[in-house]
Amino acid sequence: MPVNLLSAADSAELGSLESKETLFSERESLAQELRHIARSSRFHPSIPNEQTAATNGSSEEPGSQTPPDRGSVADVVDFPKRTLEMENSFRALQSWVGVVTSMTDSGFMATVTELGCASEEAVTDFDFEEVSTDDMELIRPGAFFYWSIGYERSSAGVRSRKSQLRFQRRPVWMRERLEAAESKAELWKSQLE
Amino acid sequence: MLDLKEKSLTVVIRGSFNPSIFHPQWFASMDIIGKKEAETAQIEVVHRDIALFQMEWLRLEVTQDRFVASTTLDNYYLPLRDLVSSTFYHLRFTPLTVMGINTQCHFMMDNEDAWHGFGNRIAPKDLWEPILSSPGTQNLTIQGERDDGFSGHIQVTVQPSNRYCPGLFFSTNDHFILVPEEGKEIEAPDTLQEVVGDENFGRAMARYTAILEHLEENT
Amino acid sequence: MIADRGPYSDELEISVFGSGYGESIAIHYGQSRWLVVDSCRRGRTGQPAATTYLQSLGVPEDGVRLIAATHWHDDHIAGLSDVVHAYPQARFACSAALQEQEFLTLIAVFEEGSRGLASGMTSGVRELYSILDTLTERGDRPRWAIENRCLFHDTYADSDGAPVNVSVHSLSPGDEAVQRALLHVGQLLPRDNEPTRRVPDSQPNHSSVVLWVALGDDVALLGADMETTGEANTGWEQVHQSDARPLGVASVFKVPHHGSENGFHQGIWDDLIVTGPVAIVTPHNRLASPLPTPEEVTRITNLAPRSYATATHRRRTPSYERTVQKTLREMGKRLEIIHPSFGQVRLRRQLNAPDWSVELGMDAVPLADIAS
Repeated sequence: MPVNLLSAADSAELGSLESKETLFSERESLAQELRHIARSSRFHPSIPNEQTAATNGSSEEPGSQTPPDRGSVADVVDFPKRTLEMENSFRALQSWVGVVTSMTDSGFMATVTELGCASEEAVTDFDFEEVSTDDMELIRPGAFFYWSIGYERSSAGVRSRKSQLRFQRRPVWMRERLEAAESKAELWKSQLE
Repeated sequence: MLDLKEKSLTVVIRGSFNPSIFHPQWFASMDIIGKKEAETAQIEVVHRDIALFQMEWLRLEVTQDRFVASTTLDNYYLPLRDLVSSTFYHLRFTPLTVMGINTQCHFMMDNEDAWHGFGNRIAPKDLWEPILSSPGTQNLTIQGERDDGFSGHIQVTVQPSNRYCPGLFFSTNDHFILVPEEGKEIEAPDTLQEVVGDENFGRAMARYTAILEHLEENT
Repeated sequence: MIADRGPYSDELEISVFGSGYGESIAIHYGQSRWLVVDSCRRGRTGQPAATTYLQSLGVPEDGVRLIAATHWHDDHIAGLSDVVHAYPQARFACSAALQEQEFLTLIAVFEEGSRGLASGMTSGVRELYSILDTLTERGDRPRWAIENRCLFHDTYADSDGAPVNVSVHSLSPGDEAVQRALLHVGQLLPRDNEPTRRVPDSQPNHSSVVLWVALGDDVALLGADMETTGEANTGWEQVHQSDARPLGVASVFKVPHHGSENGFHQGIWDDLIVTGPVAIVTPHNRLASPLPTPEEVTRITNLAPRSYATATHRRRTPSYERTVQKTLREMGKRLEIIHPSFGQVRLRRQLNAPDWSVELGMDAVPLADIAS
């Protein structure tokens, strides 16, 4: 694949930095080439089209479907032609946001709320087997998760009903935030005494 | 009748980035994605000029002036939102200028008559027929103002679908200006978090649904 | 809400609001003077119940004299910062544990950590953060509730010119409970690079404030979320054994901890409450098994035939589309929608009247009917 030639990892195989620069120096900037390659591969249909954006002066133009400009990298290398059917997709029939309320021997109890219907809460249970390996460490009382039931279509076009659960990931506490909080607490203490 | 064939959500942020840090392992180290997700990510390139990788549900492309995160799985819209929120929580000192929450859909129409009829409705052909032979709508973008207190605009684009025939391609661009206006104290990182916060993100998704329903009713 | 008329000048009122997750109490002690204890919202984003009710009765800004937070769990504090804003002349009281550095840091940390982030749901500490900021801006300080402390008192003359004394005493937390609470908080404080999370509710709630509200000759015992711990110097044991608490017995009992078994203490019923009081329970419907359980309903109604619940336990099966139902069935998953429930139990009694009259508003029911 042509992209391999341009990836940092593969670039290392070329030897010295000078070699790499020589390789690329005959082309337009690497960034423009790689972006062009990404679009040309139709790897994803929804990349905003910079050509359209430039024309209209907006940098967040909705993804356009203008075909790639032939006559550059796309001519040199034969990219696999992808159609939508090669992309996986999921059509949710029902989605919820949930919060773990308690742990059980085999899983956890949760309260779930339908997306878009904040007033209706339901109670249900989940097995650990329904949770991905990555998410197992996130399960604890108070943890939030997203749950959907719908149809998944694989890149091969196979359609199946699926229940998907994913725990919400939040960033780690940062020292500066912790220190800011401690300062705030000290200020309160002095003012409230 | 419109038959929805595909849809996706893309978040685009303009700013000043260092693409070389946007490696799946960095995201995993910050707990933004799972460790296994990072290990199985398909990395196209991670370089100082561009980072490009894909996971089961996410496609991420970062250049020096643009961050683009997208998904075709509608049960991952909120995780995508979380990823953007968490990423720029950690990178809160990254200069940012504008942001777009964009949606794209392809629809199949019942027949060509309906397809032509819709095109004629949004851009009447009789205006063009005297001066062009067989005029047809290739692209129509309508822009509206924001009424939610944020700076920016909302655009809706309609094109004939290049994937389905006869079909339509709709996209919405919820455009937010993140740089602080003169006299305002809100900084770009806080505005971004407000934009992707539950309230506003929920509104953006509801707006997108309402736009599609409106267009569907009028096809 | 029951808003036909406000209480008369010489009429006491105790209104307990409950949503199946959350409680709030508004007390009229005479002459258009009110106390508010805890806060809940009607629905996720509704206005605080107490504020809505008081505004419907035309209670002015200076009508609320004391706002008390019995503890910092979400179900007792939702919207309390709005109440504090609405009644700027009211004094604010909360557990003495909250004045300690550990608790203040907890509040600040979890607010700082969640600020601006997509959160889904917010935690009660946000309310406390806002309240503390408001108080410090005003140059005000909370009244720190500790065992057997008078948090508030007032006096007015009734129609005969006789003085009516009103007081609010905190019966908890005791010293040891405060220390336990601080120890627990220390464990909750996050470390550098730890994933952020919502602050979990701690059990038992060592910092919970039990209030003894004396309204002339009558007393209301507000049990908050206090539990029986099995240890002498904490929980209900500490309250029961105290030799410095106010004298008397209560004719109204806000049953603690949603009528749970853990909240029950026989000695409290025997020694601090009249025989056959009016008992009010605020249910908790968000658990796999809602509180109070049928067994506790029986126990409470045996002790207090006049027992009422502010909300019901109704649940129903959701009506999702066929494919979703089929998938849930195949997964063996049972989903029960918690029927949104919100009610008001209102007690009124004129100063010289022999007993309380009870009115039930919205979803409030006699406790025995809570599951029907």
